[in-house]
Amino acid sequence: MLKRELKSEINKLWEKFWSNGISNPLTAIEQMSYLLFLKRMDVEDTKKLNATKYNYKLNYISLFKGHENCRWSKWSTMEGKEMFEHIDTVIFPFLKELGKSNSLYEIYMKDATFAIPNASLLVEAVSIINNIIDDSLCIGNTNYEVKGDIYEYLLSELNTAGKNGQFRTPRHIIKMITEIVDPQIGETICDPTCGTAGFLVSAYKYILLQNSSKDNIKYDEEGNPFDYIGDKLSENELMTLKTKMLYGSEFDQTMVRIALMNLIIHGIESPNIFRKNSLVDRNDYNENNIKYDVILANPPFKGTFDKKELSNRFTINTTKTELLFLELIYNLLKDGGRCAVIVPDGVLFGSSRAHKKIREILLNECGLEAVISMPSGVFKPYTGVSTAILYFIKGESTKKVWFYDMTDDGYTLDDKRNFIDGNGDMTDIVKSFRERYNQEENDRKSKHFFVPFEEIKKNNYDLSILKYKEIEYQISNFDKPEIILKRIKDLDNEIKKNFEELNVLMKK
Amino acid sequence: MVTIFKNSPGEWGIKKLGEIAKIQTGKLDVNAENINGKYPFFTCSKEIHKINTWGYDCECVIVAGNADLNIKYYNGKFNAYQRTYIIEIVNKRIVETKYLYYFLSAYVNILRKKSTGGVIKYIRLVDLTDIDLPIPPLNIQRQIVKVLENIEIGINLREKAILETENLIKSVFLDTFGNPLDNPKDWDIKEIKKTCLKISNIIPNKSLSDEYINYIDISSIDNKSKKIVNVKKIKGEDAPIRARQKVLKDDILVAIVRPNLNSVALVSKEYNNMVVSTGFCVLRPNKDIINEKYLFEISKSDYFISNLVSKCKGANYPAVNKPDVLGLEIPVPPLDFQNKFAEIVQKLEEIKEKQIKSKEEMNELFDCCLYNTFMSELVK
Repeated sequence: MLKRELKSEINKLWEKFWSNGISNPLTAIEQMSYLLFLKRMDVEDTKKLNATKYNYKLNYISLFKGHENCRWSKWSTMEGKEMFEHIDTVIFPFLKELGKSNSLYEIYMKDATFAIPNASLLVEAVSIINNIIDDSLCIGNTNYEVKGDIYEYLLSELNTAGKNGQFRTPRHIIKMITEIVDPQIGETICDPTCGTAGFLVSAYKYILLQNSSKDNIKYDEEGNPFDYIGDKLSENELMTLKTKMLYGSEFDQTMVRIALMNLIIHGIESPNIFRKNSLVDRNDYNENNIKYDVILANPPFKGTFDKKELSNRFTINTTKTELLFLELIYNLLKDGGRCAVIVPDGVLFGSSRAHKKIREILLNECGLEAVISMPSGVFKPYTGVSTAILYFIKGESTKKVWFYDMTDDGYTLDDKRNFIDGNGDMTDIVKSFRERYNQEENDRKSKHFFVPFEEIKKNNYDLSILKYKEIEYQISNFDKPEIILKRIKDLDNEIKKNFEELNVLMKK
Repeated sequence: MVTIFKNSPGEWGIKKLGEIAKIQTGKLDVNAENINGKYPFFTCSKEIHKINTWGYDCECVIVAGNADLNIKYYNGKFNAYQRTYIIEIVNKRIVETKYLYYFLSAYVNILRKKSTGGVIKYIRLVDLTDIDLPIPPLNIQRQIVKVLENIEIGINLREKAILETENLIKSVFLDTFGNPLDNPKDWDIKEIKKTCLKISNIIPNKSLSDEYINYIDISSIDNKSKKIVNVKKIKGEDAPIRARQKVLKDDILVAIVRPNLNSVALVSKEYNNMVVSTGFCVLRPNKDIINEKYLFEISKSDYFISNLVSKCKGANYPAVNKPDVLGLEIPVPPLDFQNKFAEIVQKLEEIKEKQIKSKEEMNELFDCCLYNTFMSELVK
């Protein structure tokens, strides 16, 4: 729910970044995130100091003690040149100093460099941020929603894949996956390759929405809910949601920063995002090898891994990242834990031993609930590979698998990805999935159907939908051969006659 | 000849293709080809490349494993790209290779629908070994093959005839007027613009923003048949800035981008009044001086193409200016000579249309026989 003026202002800002030589949107977003972070620090610190005024027990010591000139409110009103100097020589060193004593800031500010090239761009960026966190632009009594939307709008500019092949999963697909998995308050939710934290934010918003009373949800013109605060949750539950439920890790420092900011701006004060390579680092997100109730992920499926680097937890013998992540996810799940993960098509039918083994784990050690086949354009322009969503529950056994053949996600499937209705099959997928056991018939020609476990087992655990879907093949109605033959004869006779006429013409 | 198709295929035996055939893949990269090679080199494209070393010597059906999954038949020494499947019948007393070839040609449509994969559609070995092949008695197989081969020969003959008709038009032109390059018959020489009428650009009308216009751009021209093939319907407000010219029947469109491709077309009456891109130089013949069919023939001539190519600017995006086209000097024979020529061309065009129609009917006949033979077996 963004005002059009704000969108155009943000677009202008990108152009500014671009014309000032920062052509990579990742860098631009990273720089914007630093500024957002600084603004937020000031706001939160002031809040806490005010609280201390009325309650001496709180005993809060300001972050800015002795560094009052590092407050956003102090320096954001400076002249451009002065502000530019100030950030470079005072603020950034101060932040790095902070990082030594505070873990969140440490993760956040590791290797941070100030890269805005000139004062005028800085002034522009600062004024946009003042707008973002300026309540006058926000609707209703909470503004996290709008801030979050603004940040997501910033992120939507990320239309190039990162250097390790990571890219931003389209938000409407994330939303659909979240609705299928249906995370609940109190469950721990993890994304081991969280990127910009799209899945975690989506799960957070989903839980808030599920726990808001009807009168407290507003809808915008497009019918999207906004301004819901999870009023049915107790203070305790809300605290749990914000501090103990969402976990993510990410390999790329820039992405870590963006993920942190994304969660912070959505109102999660100290997110549990860790920088690590999930395939290499032995320790889990903490030393106790924690397992999770829910995993949502779109792991990288590009490239392979050096065997020597891999942690020795893996039982499948492969260097393909998409297979390794599946085993990692299986290990990260609690018994009874649920997972929805996006995999490239190769995982569904690959014939190598590792491919087969991973599919056997999914069907024998887990209850594989659903395979949703997606069209190959959903990740364009990053990649045209075709993919599927797997949804499974660890520790159950598979009796039958529900397949859905998604052909339309509401956007064009070319590199432009133009908006059509933004929905396509998605609403139907969630609805059909939830009602899948109440189906009267099971028609292999329709968009979704069940396939019994035995049949899949017989087919080498093949999970590609084309193996089981029946294709209706229309024969066009041909005339009888005799009739066509007669037509050809007539034509040939006419051609003969034409040639005779032509001869006459040519002789003139 | 048609009676065999009334046979009920239900009585034929059925076997898995994997049981009766040896299926292997080629081993080479595409760049192994050698243009001057002695042997055919089958890749996934429809065209057959050449190569100097053979790797296989057999009668077989070759299936392209990706791209458009086309089917080819070959008997002899050849080589193959690694994404092609080479299917050899193990016992030729059960199945004729050529029969399998025709069966797979029909089956390929289903394969296309079944093909998996993202960027490039591809088929897997198991997709082939799993095929249920209907196996009629050998004499029936041979009958089927004979009928289909016969129709294929008919199709090829018609293709040749169409080419000959096109050659005839060119030959009559040269015979009547001589090569425009050296103008052996000493016709008057005029710049093209002296033989054409002036055309003014239209300014896209904002009031049309809600209406749909028919728009022809360079990609609408098929430079092989020299015809307008796909007109785009666009909303006035979405019309590109280049949509600024209207054309009339008998205008000639000359694409000024990449003139070496010779994207030219004569506007027939169904395209009258459509909007075209400014990427075309539009020639509107002054009919007191020049006949549109004569001018169109000139615009397809080597003389015209090589002249424009020599005036190209820009290496990555070669293009000429409209004055380059309009300033080109061409021979202008007396009008009654031109009109006579146009009459002959008209006749030959009619013949060609019928030849094309005849070829299409022949294709239809082929498909009809093919599908009636196999389809009831294919679709379960």
